[in-house]
Amino acid sequence: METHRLPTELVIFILGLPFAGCLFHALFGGWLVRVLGERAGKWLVGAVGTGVVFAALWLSIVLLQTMLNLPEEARRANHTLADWLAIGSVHVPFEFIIDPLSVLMCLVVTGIGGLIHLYATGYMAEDTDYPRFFTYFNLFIFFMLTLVLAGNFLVMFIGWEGVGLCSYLLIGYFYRNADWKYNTDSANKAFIVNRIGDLGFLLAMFIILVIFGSLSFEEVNKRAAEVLGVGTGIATAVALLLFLAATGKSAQLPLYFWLPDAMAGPTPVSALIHAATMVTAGVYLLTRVHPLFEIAPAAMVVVAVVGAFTAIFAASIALGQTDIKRVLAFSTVSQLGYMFLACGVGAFWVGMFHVATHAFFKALLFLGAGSVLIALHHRGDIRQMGGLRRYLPITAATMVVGLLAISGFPPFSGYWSKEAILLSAYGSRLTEWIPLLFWIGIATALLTAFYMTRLTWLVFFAPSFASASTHTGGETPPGHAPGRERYWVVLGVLIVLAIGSTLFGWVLPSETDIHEFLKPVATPVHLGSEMLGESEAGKVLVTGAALLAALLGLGLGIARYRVGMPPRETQLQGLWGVLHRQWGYDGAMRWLGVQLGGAFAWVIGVLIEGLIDGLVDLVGVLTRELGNLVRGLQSGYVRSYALMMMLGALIMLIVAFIYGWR
Amino acid sequence: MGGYNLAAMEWAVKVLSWTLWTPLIGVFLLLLIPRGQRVLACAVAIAATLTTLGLTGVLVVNFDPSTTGYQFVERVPWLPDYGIAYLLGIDGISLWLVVLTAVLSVLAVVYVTLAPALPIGSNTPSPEHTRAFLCHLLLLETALMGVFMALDLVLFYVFFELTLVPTYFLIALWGGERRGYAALKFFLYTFFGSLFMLLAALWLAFIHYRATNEMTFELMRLQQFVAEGGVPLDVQKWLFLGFALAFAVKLPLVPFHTWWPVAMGEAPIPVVVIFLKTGAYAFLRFGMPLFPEAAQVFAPLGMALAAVAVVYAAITATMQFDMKRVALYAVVSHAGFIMMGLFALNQTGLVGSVVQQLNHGVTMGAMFLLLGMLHWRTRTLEINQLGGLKAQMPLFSALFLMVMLALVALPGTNGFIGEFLCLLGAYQAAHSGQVATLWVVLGATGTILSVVYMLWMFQRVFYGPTPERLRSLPDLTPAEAALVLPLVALIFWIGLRPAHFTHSLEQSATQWVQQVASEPWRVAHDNSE
Repeated sequence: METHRLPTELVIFILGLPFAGCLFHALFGGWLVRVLGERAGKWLVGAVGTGVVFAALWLSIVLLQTMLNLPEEARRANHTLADWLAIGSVHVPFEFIIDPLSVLMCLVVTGIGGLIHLYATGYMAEDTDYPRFFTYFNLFIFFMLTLVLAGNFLVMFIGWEGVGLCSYLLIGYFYRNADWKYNTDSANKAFIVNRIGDLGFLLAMFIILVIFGSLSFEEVNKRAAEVLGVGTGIATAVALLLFLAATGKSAQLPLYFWLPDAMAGPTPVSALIHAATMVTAGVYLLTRVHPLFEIAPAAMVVVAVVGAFTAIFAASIALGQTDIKRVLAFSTVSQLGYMFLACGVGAFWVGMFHVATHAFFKALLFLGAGSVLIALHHRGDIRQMGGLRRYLPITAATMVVGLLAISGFPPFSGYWSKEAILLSAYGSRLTEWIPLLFWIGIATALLTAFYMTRLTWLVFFAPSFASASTHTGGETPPGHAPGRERYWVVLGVLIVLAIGSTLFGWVLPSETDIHEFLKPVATPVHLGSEMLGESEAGKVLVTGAALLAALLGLGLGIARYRVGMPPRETQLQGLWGVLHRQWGYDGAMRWLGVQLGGAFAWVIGVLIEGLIDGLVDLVGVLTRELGNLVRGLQSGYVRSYALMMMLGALIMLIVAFIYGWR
Repeated sequence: MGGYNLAAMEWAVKVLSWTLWTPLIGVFLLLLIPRGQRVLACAVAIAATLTTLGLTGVLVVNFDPSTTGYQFVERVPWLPDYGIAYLLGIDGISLWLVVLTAVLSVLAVVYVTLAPALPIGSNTPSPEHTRAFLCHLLLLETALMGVFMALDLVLFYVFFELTLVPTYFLIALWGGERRGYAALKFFLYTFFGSLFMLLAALWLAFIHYRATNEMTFELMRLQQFVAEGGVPLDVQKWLFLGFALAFAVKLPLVPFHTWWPVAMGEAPIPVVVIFLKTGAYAFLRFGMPLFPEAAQVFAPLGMALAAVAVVYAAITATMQFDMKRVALYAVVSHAGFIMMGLFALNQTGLVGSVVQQLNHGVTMGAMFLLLGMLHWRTRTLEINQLGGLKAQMPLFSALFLMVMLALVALPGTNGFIGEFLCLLGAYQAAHSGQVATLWVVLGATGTILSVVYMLWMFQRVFYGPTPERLRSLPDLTPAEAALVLPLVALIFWIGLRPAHFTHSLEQSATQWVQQVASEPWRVAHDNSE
């Protein structure tokens, strides 16, 4: 099919379908379940919810095909729907951008999103509030697509805060079970911490709008160097403010600490929102406006350092976690750190590449964990698991694929993107810290392989929980025997994702394909090639070191956990306790926010507020007493006050009139 | 200056007066109805407010957004010896405030109609008192309309103070448990504050009289007089402070705000719903355009106060034990945003602050209506006494959630447009060096704090298992939901298509900036773009 331009109006349908799905569930979902009966009603809701996302996927594929048939320079187009803000010099339309970057993200969001919706029809089958789940889930897809398709900062901010809202609603989804307090606390925490980051987004928008007179990505990217100047203070400020927003949404230091608690939501939510899509928004933002970062080298260094440090920090914490989903949550934080490391050294396309591969294998790992949780009646403590491969063979097999992919073993998808990150870090000349950052990356690879082996082995291969429980000091084993794999959608999705995690980045499509595809949108424009590590010089060393680290991690993991978790670790003693408590960071933040913040709020809201109000009342009382004294009147009635004031006013009026006429 | 739209004048068969006095006509009709005829009284009140709304519709249709100056102007000498005139007129800024007052009045009256029979002290009139209650409510509507229409300083003062009378009685007669204290505090505090405005207005008029030998209280003429250098800056400063103090109390601006949570906390819900931001409007209509030089001198201070107010009130909101009081402190915090936008003294900030004033009516109106309906069911709004409402009242919870999102300024809602423009305007002023950037950043942290107090409240009230005593609460009836829906629709309408509303105030805003911001401000601002 020969077309000469991109069918940009498809944007309306790509966005409209999930939104229509959301409205459908919200307005008719509950009614359908009542009228059609539980089974048929839920089936319809699930089918519509999943269907709209797959339909959006299909449209995204159409966009991709058209795009691939076009020459490189014709692969970018804008679509303006309507005016949004138009006040004086401030003009911000609802505009959307279609280019390789947004199409790639659309494919990830709708592709992985569709699969996870499908999975959720099985996972949530017994939930009593089924339509509400799909309302929020479809709404999330809508906001996420708005985020990635946005053509300017302000439209992106709709998606940016919108996905935060959905995240909030879904973390607190189980709002009345036994854990409701923890669940809804976690939801609040996520929203509030994200708002701290969003403040950066907001302030960056103010600066950009005032200086550029526009919020359009195209305009800002084109004129960034000329308007802001390279390496100026204002350029650094804008980049750092945007990065602050990214650390909130993408769970990096110092704002990562909401994500682990976000696991309180249903597992499909953890997989889709808190692993595969929403949390990658920060990386996407950096790539979308990469010229703004390139002209601020200091900010680039900050990005790289924060990324690398978060990667190893979170990986170390993952070692000490005992909940299956929390291990994966810290692994997400760590992998996101890798992505920011890539962006920080100027390899933006590599960051996006890792976003895509990570979406596959992390969704796979989370959904595998979900399958385990279904079987274990939602008890997620890995210390009480073991030997589950006999009950859940398909889950075990696909989880091993996930393990190999995230650890970076060839030919699984994680290998290609992680190697690309390490390679670009190795060759970068951005700062003298680069060797350190590179070796942090290698060390993180070792830790990643180690904690993932720990997880997989303890859950599926270690001696079964009955014997493992002796390690916990004779604790009673769980009352229920593990269930079997029941839902075909769950298994089907696991298998599809396992295939994706195996082939993506290698066969379908290959690393070079992706590089070529993203070249027009993610190639640095202000950084010379001498700054970037695109040479093949260190390839052997990098590949060797990375593979060795992964193998070492795998070997150490199996050696340590062969017969189950050692008792010291089970009881979280010593270092394990420190790691379990996130090096004390979460506690410190809690203290700062809840204790110190609470005390501060009390001083202002109770003490000072009371003083101000008391002063007002005191003035009132004194006036009354004075009035009593002067006029000897019984008081307490408003009439006398009003009369007094009226008289006073009259006197002043008369005085003023006389004064005026003289 | 002050160019009257003559074409509109000829056409206008005194639409403004009709709009203004129709509620009062309603009051007289109500007085004809025998006591205790609740249904009839409600019908008359609804008819009166609907007629008023229809008349504001006439205003919207005939409003010409392409001209500056006041439209539908009416001028009748009132006390000609003292230069006091019955002078009405609206521009793009007051237009929507007038419309919104009419909309909210309809909703408030329907709310009273739907109210179940509850005893005194429950924020709702009993059946035999409905007529009296509605009379006060309609009188309040007229007073508010007058505030937004008056262009004569004395006339404005009269309406400004007239709002106190019905509000005082509504609180004192139908308020909560501490209604006596609340009503008194409300009356004395705001009345006392307004006296300063009266004195400053008199002082200004006499300066004008001494210079021209002519008495006038007409806004446009005094404005021109000051603009032509009739008042030295030193005096301007004192006059501005006099006006500012009155309006800051009314706004309410921290630290003059403590009457607000007390008075409105005890006030019946319909009062809180229609009690619009007259203080903010007075600032932008009188305070700043009359004394532009003084406004510029005080802008850095005002910006600082406003930013502190945003944060202070938001923090105080977290410490409240009552849903209504949380919302009332949210109002104080949002008033800070309005003032930030105004003290930016530029177009973005002004439009933002007008949108934010509209938001106050829309979002807070919806919020208080919902709280009132909850109060009908639970007889309390204390957070401790509530819990698990989401499972028990899903429709109510969904509506409350949407209103809450507008309140925390989620993009796509009206709240975002208002806060974004106010802060952007403030940043523009900071960028051109007129105010300190620090205050903009401080004010912007209000967006974090609003989430803290709202989400925390939402969690405690709506999440968790439903306590036994709340298990019989019925969800909203269709009529109750329908009452809130227009406001929810407005939340998204303003949020997504703000141009439909800002379009008509574009000219007025341009003119306002020309009047208020002198050359250095404007030049500095233009250079920045």
